[in-house]
Amino acid sequence: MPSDPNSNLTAVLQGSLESLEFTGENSPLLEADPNAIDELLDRVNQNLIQGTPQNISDDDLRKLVLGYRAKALKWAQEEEIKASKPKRGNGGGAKKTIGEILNLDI
Amino acid sequence: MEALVETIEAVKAETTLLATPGALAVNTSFSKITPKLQLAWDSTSIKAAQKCWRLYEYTIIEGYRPPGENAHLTFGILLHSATELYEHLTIGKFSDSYRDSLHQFGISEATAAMAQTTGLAHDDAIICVLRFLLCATWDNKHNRPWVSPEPTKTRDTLLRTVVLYLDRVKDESLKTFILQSGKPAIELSFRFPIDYVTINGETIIFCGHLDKVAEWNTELWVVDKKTSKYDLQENYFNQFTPDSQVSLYSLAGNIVFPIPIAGIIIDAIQILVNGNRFRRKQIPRSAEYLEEWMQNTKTLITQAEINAANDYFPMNEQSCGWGNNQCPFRPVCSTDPSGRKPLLDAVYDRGIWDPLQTR
Repeated sequence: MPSDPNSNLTAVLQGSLESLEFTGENSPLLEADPNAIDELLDRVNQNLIQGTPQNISDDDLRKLVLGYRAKALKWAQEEEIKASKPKRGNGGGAKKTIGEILNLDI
Repeated sequence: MEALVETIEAVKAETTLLATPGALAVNTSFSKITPKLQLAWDSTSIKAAQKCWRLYEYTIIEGYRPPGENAHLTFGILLHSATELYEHLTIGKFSDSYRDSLHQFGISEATAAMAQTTGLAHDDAIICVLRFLLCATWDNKHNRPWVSPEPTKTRDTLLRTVVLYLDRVKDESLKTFILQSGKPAIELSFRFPIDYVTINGETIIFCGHLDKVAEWNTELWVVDKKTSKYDLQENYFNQFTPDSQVSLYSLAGNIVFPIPIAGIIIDAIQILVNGNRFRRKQIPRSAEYLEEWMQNTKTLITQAEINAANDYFPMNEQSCGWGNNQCPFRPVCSTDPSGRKPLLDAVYDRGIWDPLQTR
């Protein structure tokens, strides 16, 4: 079976963020702003409202791609932290037996 | 190979983006002798009939759909179109008409020409795919972005899912098979007759649409993309056995494709409001298993002939379900028979499901 890339999702995303080449002065990682997605989409939408999709700039689209990758990386990191925390309710230990829950000597 | 512009028109016809009232088109998958007898069966039709004949009548024969289901269809069609576009752009060698259709999405002639001759690099292809999706999800009627009622299947989650999915497939070991024509083995429509003739002498055919055929470990596999909002644990994959779509694709892969297919891989994408997860699993089917499935399906079609001749499709009350899993037509079946048609026309969307329409 092909390897399940979900197991190293953060590594895949980090690699993707670093691979996108830019001809500009700014580093791709500095431009990877997950919060800029809405602003970028607004700019794209303006071109579509005006009926000029050809005016959507490649630069804006690159930033959009980076933004989605950065957002996904952040989410994946948050999910990994959540998964590593013990579950609430049983102190993170083994599931209690009926005897333990009812405090009976079974 | 479906031109992208035709895909967009098909999606928009399915959704409310360009909705105009009018008569339904003719469904070419049905008999001209017995109008409610389906002759061309795909997995969607088979599954509807297996669940409940009344559900089958509402959805496949009459074309009713639960309100809001269009969002799932739209999302699915655009996801598949986007990944198909990516494959074509990176592999190249597509037709001149396909190349010429790309400019409608703001893809320059120079970029389209480069893609056609040499194929594009991964990131350049993703940028073109985003251009396509941004245009495809524009509601021209209201001059605004597509608005979806389903929070996990929105324009934003579509763009994000496509970017992340394509990043994932970029360097993987599961490589799209290249046909003898030089084209990638993606979005392959199939149809073949089976050993079943109706009482009026009409042949039954099976048809469908393979997402992709890919090479892995010197074998060929049919890869089928699935989206879900649920966890992709073992339980998720258990639903694919028994499953008529997997069985049909396994059968089709070996009948229609010139090279033996090892099996089906389910390529699952979990889509949440804020993120995605991905997981794949092989779903096996032996020849013995498929023989039994064929026998089951022929029995189903025999029942379809009887129901069509009687113009009566009975309810399967055990399939109605309840809560989040209830049949979307339960409100209809709960109403007195005289009230059902007005309710269907008032509340439910309508569209043709014709398995013979290639995508």
